[in-house]
Amino acid sequence: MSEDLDQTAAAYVLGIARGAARAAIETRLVGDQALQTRVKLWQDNFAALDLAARIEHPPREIFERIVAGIDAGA
Amino acid sequence: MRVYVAYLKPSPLVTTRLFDPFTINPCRSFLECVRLMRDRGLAEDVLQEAMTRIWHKAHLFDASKGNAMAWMAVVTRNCALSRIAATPPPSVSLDEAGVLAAVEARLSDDPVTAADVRQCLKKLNEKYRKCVTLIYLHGLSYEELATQMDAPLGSVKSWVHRAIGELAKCMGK
Repeated sequence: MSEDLDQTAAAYVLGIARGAARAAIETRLVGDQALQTRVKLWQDNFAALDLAARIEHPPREIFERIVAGIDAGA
Repeated sequence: MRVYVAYLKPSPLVTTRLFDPFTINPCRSFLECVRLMRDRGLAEDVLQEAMTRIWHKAHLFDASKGNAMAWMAVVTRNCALSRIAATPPPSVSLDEAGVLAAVEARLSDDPVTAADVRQCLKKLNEKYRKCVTLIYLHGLSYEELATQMDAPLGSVKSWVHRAIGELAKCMGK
């Protein structure tokens, strides 16, 4: 039972589940607290790998584009 | 990093609790986009989409359910993965040294964070560890993973399945 949930949660968090499969998991996540808990566990654990990365600054123009897009109602 | 705050005009939608992480998070998010999209131009597009979505959805963020940086990372990741699903990015070209470096760089011993998933990843055999790390960090599909690992698709799928089982046990402790 929990084995199945971990496979689903990991497929979602790691990014194995894409497209329709991903959308299906997202729909299920809305009401499935047990799955939410497992997804959060996987996300919290793997976030450590992201935080271990060095920081890279995106080009400044992107932020101008983002703000311009928001102002234009994007 | 502060300079980016100036570009993001105050809005009732963006609460103070979101505002601070915003200064640093786009940098982390950008790195994640570059890694997953494997192309800086595509990464910039995805970052823009993610940051715009975050801006519009900021009022939905619930601080009681987690921290803002993690939430933004998830939104960013979802944008990147949807884009990958719609338009597969260029094939990844990681040589053996590149793969090992990508994997090992994230597994360095750091006493402060040693209790996290890296300890669990280290306990996996090297094959499993490589698969999981490449999927998460570089967004490889099973097919790309099979090529990268020079193994049949079925084997790669079963390695990942078993790796997830072992990680779940380790993380649950």
